This record gives sequence, C-alpha cells and structure tokens, in this order.
Amino acid sequence: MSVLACLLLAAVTILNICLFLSRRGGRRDSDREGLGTGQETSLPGAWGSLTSELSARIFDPEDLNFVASETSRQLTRQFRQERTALALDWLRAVRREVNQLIRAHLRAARGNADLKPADEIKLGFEFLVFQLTSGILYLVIWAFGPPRAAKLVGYSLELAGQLRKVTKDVLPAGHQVAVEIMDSKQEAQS
Amino acid sequence: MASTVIWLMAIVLEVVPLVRAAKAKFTRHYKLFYSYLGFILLRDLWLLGVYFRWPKFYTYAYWSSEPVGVLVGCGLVWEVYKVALARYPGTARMARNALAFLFIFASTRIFVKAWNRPTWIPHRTGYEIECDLRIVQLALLAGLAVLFVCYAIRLGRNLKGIIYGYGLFLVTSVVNLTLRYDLGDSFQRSWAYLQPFCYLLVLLVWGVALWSYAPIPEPASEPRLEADYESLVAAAKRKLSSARSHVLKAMRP
Repeated sequence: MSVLACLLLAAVTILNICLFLSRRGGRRDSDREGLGTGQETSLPGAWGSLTSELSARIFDPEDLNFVASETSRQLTRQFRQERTALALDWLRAVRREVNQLIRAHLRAARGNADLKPADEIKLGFEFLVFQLTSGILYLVIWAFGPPRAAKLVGYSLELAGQLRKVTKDVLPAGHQVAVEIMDSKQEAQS
Repeated sequence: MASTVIWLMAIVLEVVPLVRAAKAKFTRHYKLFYSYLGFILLRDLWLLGVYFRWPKFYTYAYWSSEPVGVLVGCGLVWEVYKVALARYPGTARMARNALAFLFIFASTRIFVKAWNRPTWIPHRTGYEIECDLRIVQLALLAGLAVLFVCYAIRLGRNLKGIIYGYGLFLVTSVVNLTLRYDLGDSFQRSWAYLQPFCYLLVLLVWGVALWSYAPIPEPASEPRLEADYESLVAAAKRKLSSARSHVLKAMRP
C-alpha cells in the first residue's frame, strides 16, 4: 500500500506542476521582458532601496527601549508590532529581489549553449539555502520581534564562529567542517 | 454496452484531431505526437475487431500491443523535449542531463526489481511492467515540466495541450494500474470503466488544445546574452552571497 501511496502522491504532484505551469504561463505572457532589463542583473550592491542604515535601524533595540521607557505598555506593544511588520516587509523585499535575480539568471542562462548543469545545481542549492534561511528568519521575527530576532541571530553567528574555530583547531587543514557564516570578505563586499 | 459506446467515442475523438491537423497541414510540427495518435487509432480499431470477432483473444491482443504503445509514447516525450527546447540550448543541455539521470534511475529500479523476482513472467506481471514503464515516462515528463517552469520556457497552446493530456494519461494510468495490481480482480469491473473514461478526458484535452495550430511564442530577448556562462554564474553567486550577508549584517546587534 505504501507504493500506492507514493504513486498517488506523485500523481497529485504532477497535477500541481501542471496547474503551476499554466498559472505561470499566463503570468509570463503579460510580464514581457520587464524583468530582464539588466537592472537587477547589474547588482552587486543593488540593495539601494534596502540600505544598511534602514535595515540596521529596524533591528536596533534602541528605539524600542526608548519607547518602552517613555510611554505606556500599550504603546510599546503597538510600536513593537509596527516594527515587526516593517522588518517582515524588509525581509520580503530582500527575498523578492533575490527571486528576481535568480529569474534573471535563469532567463539569461536558458539560451546559453555553454550552460553547465553542475553549476546550475550548485546555484539552485545556494538559492534554496537562502530561501530556507530567510524563511526561518521570517518566522523568528514574526514570533519574537526584530530586536530579539537580531539577538538570536547574533548569538547563532557567534556560536557558529566558535564552532568553526574549534573545528580549525581539532581537524587538520583541508578537512575542516564548513560552517556557513558571514566572513570578513563578505562584509567587505556588502 | 456502455463500454462499447465509450470505445466508439474514443475512436471519434482520436480521428478528429488527426483530420483537423491533416486538413490544416500542421502535422509536420508534431510528427511524433500525430504518429502516436495514429497508432492508437489503428490499435483501437484492431482491438475492436478482435473483441467482436475473437473475444477469447482480446486479452492477448491487448497486452501484446501495449508495449508498442509505451514505446511510441516515449517518442512523444522526446518530441516535447525537442520542440519545446529547440530555441533554448542552455535548458536543453540541462534537460539532457536531468532526463538521462531520471531514465537511468527509473530503469535501474525496474531491472533490479525484475532481477530479484524468481517468478518474473511478462504475461502475469503485465500490469506491473506497464505501470513501471509508465512511471519512467511520468518521471521524464515531470522532469521536463519542472525545467520548463524553472527556466520560464514558453510553450504555446499546442505543446501545453500535449503535455497536459499525456501527463493526465500517465497519471491516471499509473493510478489505475496500481489499483488493479493491488486490489486484483475486485477492481477489474471499475477498471473497465475508469480507464476508458480517463482516456476520453485525455482525448478531449488534446482535441481542444490541438484544434488549430498555435506556434510556440518567440522567447523574450535575453538579458546579457552576450555574457559568457561563467561570468553569468559568478555574478549570480556573488549577488546571492551579497544578499545573504546584507541580511545577516542588518540583523547583527
């Protein structure tokens, strides 16, 4: 029966793909080449609308602390809710830009005869990891609010850094466990 | 009586797209699809004759012609790949790799299963074999569909209809064959009606989608088509990494 269940699942999946295909097809007919103008392909640093100052401010606990110390509890709660909504909007905007970037890449790559499937799969995997990470961040922000989420992220990054240091010390060079973390190189780029 | 009516309706629905395409002279655009449709039409006529003249041989006639149908069906999947990706060499390359992987994976599964079975008799295990082969086709078609979605491949009404119709046919075949194999003779009565009914739906989809010729839309002008692939990937990776560090940097207390 488990085989049957798998097959039924496969059937439902295929039907969903078909529906998705038709929905996308309809949408694509209307969206034309708007996405492929090269504007989003000419990143990096295309996070103009999402400047670091703005995003850092959203997650900074200073404003919340000030509001909490100067106003009532109700107003503080309202402020926190608004900040959460703002942070979620910001994260959605970043995800949207990344989605556009990947779409632009796929549009450019589909006609390129030199396409390398291995590179495409790697890029797809990185994209999935980004989506997963940002999805988790979204949930954390939604559940705890931006300042606490930032604290949690900072703590996780610190922990990851320590873990990387430990693996560097324990394992011989070339066999270190890869720990995904924002390194100084990436910081310099951004 | 009802099954004969469904049978005759199916024959009519098979004839209609063939006649339409032959009249409007667009069979050359989808040669393998119309060959498939022609084959199943001839097969249905032959089986109808066998059913009424030599009913005892009907089961043998049905199961002996089924593998040919599966093979011709593979040609249809091949045509979908060839026609849809003719203007997209990059995606075609990706599809070749993905399809080869899926084909080897699915075929190996069938061979291993057959090898491990001491009583592997084609006639007795006809349902199972056909189901396995249909799953291979389904995997290939689903793989193609995923690539079409990911790479935003424009298909056109005709090709979409062929994919939807054949996809529906494969899905219903796999479900029906699995139920027939798992539930045995108790499902035979339902099978006799369910399968032709699903097939009628497939023919309706094909009839509507291929009523007239609809050329595949030209691909939108590609951004940075002049750029080589290496720099395209490098740029995409760099930007993705930049986005990731942007998010993490913003959230650092």
